[in-house]
Amino acid sequence: MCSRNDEEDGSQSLMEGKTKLTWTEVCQKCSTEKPVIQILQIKHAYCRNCFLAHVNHKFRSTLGKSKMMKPSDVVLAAFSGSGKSNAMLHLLHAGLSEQSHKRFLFKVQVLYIDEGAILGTSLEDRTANLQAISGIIEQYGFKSYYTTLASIFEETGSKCFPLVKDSTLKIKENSEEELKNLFLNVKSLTAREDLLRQLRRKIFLQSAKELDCCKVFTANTSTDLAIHILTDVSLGRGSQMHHDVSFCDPRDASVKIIRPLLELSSKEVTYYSVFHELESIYIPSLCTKASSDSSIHNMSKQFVMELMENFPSTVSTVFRTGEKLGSTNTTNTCETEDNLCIICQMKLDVSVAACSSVQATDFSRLISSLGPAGFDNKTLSQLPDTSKGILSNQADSLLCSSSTSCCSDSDVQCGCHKDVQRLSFPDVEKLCCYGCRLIIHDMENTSSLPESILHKVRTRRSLENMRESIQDFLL
Amino acid sequence: MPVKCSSSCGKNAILKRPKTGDALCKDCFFWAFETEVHNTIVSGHLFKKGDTVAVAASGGKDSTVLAYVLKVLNERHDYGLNLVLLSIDEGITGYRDDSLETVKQNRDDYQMPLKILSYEELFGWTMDAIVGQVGRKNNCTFCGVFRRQALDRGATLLGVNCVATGHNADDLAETVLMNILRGDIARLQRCTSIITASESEGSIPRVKPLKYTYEKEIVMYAYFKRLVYFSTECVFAPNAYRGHARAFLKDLEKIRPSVIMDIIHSGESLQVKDDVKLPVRTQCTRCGSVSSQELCKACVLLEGLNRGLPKLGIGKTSLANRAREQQDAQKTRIVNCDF
Ligand SMILES: [Zn+2]
Ligand SMILES: [Zn+2]
Ligand SMILES: [Zn+2]
Ligand SMILES: [Zn+2]
Ligand SMILES: [Zn+2]
Repeated sequence: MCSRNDEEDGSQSLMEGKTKLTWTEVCQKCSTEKPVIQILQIKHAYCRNCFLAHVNHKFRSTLGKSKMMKPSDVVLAAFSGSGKSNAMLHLLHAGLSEQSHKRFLFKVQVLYIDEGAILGTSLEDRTANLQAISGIIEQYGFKSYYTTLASIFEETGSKCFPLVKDSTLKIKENSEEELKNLFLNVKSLTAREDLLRQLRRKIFLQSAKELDCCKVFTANTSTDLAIHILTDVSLGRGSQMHHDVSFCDPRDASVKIIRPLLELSSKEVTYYSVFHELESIYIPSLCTKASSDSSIHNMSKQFVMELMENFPSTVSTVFRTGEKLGSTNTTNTCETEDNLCIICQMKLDVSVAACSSVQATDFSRLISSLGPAGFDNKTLSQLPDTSKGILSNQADSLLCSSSTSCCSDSDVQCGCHKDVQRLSFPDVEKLCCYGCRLIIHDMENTSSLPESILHKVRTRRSLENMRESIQDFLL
Repeated sequence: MPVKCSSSCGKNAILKRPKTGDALCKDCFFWAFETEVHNTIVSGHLFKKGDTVAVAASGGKDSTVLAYVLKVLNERHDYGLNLVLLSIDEGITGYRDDSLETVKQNRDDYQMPLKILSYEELFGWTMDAIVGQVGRKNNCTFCGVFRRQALDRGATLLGVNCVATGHNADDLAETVLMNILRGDIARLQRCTSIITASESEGSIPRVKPLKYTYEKEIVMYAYFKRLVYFSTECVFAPNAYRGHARAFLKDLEKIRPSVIMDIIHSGESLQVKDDVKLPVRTQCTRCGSVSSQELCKACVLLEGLNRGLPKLGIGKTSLANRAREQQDAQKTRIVNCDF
């Protein structure tokens, strides 16, 4: 019985079941007003004003204790039109309007990213969204900009445009087409969503650089981040998830991505918006219309929500797990470009031990295609210490001959390694982390990737060739 | 239209591998399945020539397939292993009797010696008796903890070099999710390692040769090899939380079959921050097995049962200590009255 359980030592008690929160007659904070909301972490009922003060305090203390904000900073706040991101703007605005010593000294600009192209939204609707967005931001008086997802395909020129009352959406047909192609090329919704997340991150960084901002603020709550943790683990991104779920994502040398709402739950932020009667605009995104079993992200979201019903502490437990992960002294800035994933900038995590999940999967692919007849027993006996060498080379050439984009003539040893212009799947995959490889795996061909990424592949490949040819003379 | 085997052996494929999506014929599948386990054994350095290995046999599909494959590979690749079956009789009427029959069948079919150890002889309690005491709610804690201890003791008794368990890729991925959900950082870091060698000496290492094998492929292998196994889930209500993690994993697998290997990869590659304190693992002062507390969980649970305080080991340590002290205080009082 329960042989699956025999690693247990009975610590499931770490999970708290549902405990009854205490509704009281009066607010636990001010003891005068009638309570309207219960806060899980405090397990007490608060009145409206005390609750709003609590959220504001949490937001300020999150920023304060990080000791990362400098008076000279210009922050780029990402605004999507959602209630959450409006709450973030409202909190920032409140902080900037405070009296003297309590006032935030940094400056705030707002960025809206138009993603309409990948959803096939009409240009009129996209422009209408844009104007509604500008209407909300205007109330706060922030300087605001918009950019489009397709700008990732543009090589030169400005990609961010000022967002004012009657801005019309400027698009470039070419890059819009390229963006649509890229997403059509990715077969599964899971990979499309993951790709979108990586591209958004690139857009944040690219826009911040263009607008001279050193920090980007995103409105992720602790609930969002708990969902991200489960999603990241399931996408093979275990080694990098601490960057995706911590206060600061330090991967880029000059722009930090900051999550100032991470100590607040989605419930708290939603109530904040409701009590302040903040407007939100519904702009559909890649996953909004899809059912829960359509992608790993949607499934994780549903799972966390359901678990919250019976185990309300789930979010904070998962979130605290995430906080403890990741090496503290590894800052990516000291890494050389050569070791980083070309898509997400993470340290490549694929050259792992001989006995690992990566090696086992490669091995499965290899022997499924070779079969008992094609498999030389000597190959296996050489395997243990050469997991990188022999195995990945063979797997590479196999992947090559089975993919449609290169080597149509499968009898000839794959020639794509010599081809300068065309890039094979292995060429690209070699420079990707485990998680991004899964995206590439789901693509029909690699040529639809943005030129900035393909360029990196070519450069790194030719550098490698150069190194190979002079290897004997390197000391 | 029949699909050809992807190894181009010329035969028609009869199955699609859940792990890679490749279509294989029966013979190529057997060969691939066995060669992969062999690869895991070789690359993970699981055994040394001349080792005596106890296969933890429950009569279920994982351990039945494990025993069979180890026997095949031991002969094919000349590992030089001495394989024995080690089975634990938890003492559950109806359930265990049937599964022990399966294990005995394995013993005869594979010609391996079999040692059966019972909870009753090891701990003085059968699971039936424990359920009588604690009810059906927390008994999985008991059976998990006691099973772990029982395997250790059995391995010591048999004088083996290591214990091979039938944990498969699905089990591992589920455990990774489980440890994230309950915030168990220490176990999260440990759970994907293929050899659970204990830091303290005297404890016998556990190995998981089926670590990278999908549960579905184990069922396929048993089915096409016509291996008999006993398939019943725990008769008592299993841990609800683990059940959630299991269901979640199954849902994810439907969306992307490679998710099991992807989660294991995540587990293998994640790091714990340098400044996070992990519990120090020491030895239980009572029985000597590995534990992060002064008393190991098995000893605490056993003490609870023997004292008539079965909840002792289930709640928090502080609560357990208080309950223990209260009872001791009462005892002293009674003793005092006598004088
Ligand atoms: Zn109040
Ligand atoms: Zn990557
Ligand atoms: Zn075949
Ligand atoms: Zn059980
Ligand atoms: Zn003990």
